[in-house]
Amino acid sequence: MTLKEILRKTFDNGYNFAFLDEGAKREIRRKILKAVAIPGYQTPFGSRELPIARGWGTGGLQITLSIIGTGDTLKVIDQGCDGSVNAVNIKKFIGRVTGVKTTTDTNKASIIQTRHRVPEEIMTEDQILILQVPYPEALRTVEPEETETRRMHAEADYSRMWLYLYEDIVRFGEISIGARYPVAVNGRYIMDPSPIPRWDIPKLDRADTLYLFGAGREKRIYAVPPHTEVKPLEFEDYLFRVEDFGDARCRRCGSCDTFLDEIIDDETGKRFYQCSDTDYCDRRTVDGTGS
Amino acid sequence: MKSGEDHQTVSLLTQNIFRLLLDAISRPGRIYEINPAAVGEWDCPVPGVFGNGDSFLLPVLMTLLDKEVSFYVTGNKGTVQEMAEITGAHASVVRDADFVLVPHEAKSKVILEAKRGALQYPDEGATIIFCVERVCEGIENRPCIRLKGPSIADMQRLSITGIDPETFAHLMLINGAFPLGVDSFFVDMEGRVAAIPRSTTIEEVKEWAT
Repeated sequence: MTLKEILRKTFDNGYNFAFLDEGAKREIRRKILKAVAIPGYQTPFGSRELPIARGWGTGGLQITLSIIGTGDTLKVIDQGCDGSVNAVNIKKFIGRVTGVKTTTDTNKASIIQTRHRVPEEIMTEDQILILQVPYPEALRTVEPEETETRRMHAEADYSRMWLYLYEDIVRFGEISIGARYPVAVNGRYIMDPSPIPRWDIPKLDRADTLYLFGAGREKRIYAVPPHTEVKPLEFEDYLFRVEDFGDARCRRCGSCDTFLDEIIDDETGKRFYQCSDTDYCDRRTVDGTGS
Repeated sequence: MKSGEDHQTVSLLTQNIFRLLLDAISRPGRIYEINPAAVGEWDCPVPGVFGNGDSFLLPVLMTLLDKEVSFYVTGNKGTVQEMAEITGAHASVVRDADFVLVPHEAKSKVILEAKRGALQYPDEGATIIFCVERVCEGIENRPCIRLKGPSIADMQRLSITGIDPETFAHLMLINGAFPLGVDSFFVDMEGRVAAIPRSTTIEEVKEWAT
């Protein structure tokens, strides 16, 4: 499709390019620039109404719509999967209001919107990963009031978070947080990395890629710029570790170095493991690199 | 910009420029270029508010400014009215301005008064846009600044000409208490753009050639 046809098509549909009006995009863009300039800080923004419900990826969607252009190639995943209903519908929607190319191949995408996973493939500096965030405030577990958590971030007063982690160790023998593991960004802000598994936390640290986080319902945008230190909170004697799958391998591609989903067969009760990143798994299966 | 199609064209151009600004602020000190052909298609007057050679500034302003924000222009007061009309943004005093524009060769001392945000809302710190003669990758033994900090793998050299040499000392002072501070974009006469966000430390300023 030529540029003119895309323009004609989106205009004939009655929508602006990328659905949002220009004023909304400008505001979101200004906030994204501030978020990148202050790594890990939650920038408030005027979250707009969209044709999907709040809590279904509207924060990520607004970031994607504000940054996407006709030259981009889009991939959308939900828990690592290109084929889940939420991912497919978000991808269709963005495709319809922008005319951009879409893909499932991580290497071919310039923009990837994701819910709860970072792709297994190491992303490059030409790519942007946009994470959907349900609860942007990492301190919410220890403090219910927004004005107070804002004060705590302002003063870098994180003692209650550390105390919470200490109490967790006392109770369970280790830090029991799975997804949403709190991290320190650039040695300053404690940040909620969204409900990605621990497995993905090391991928945020000093990456080549820009990570943008959008919480639509909570009206917050934050960012981890490239080459920025992201450290999971840990104690010297209780170090952070990622999930351990033991000897489990993916039943499709045989991988033992990827994040695996546990699947239980309803009838036989048998447990299987399978890569959570479906694109990575598919490509390993096709090129025969799997076993 | 009356018909829908022109509106859409502007929409795509500002998207293009925004991505460039996003790249620039994500990778401080690296040079990104506005495509002159894209700006040539811009279907609205480019008055060259700051004199000849600043035709790349307007697209940047159109991308960032609108009626929700305020701006301040150092030096040349004649441009304020025109700026307000074009962008829809309103003029204000420097200490309240969301955007501060420092025209080519203007003294930059006034940026010391720009908003640095509050500890609870550091994002309220101003964005400073400097119109300069030229930005380029810094070369060793030439006057340049060395940038360090998050977003920079090791160290980044940047050379800027046509700017008040005091600017970098001012920026170091303003951005000395992270997360408070200002974020700066440098737009040159040929459409090259570089950024220095507040998180970046300006490490060394060698002798400056203007």
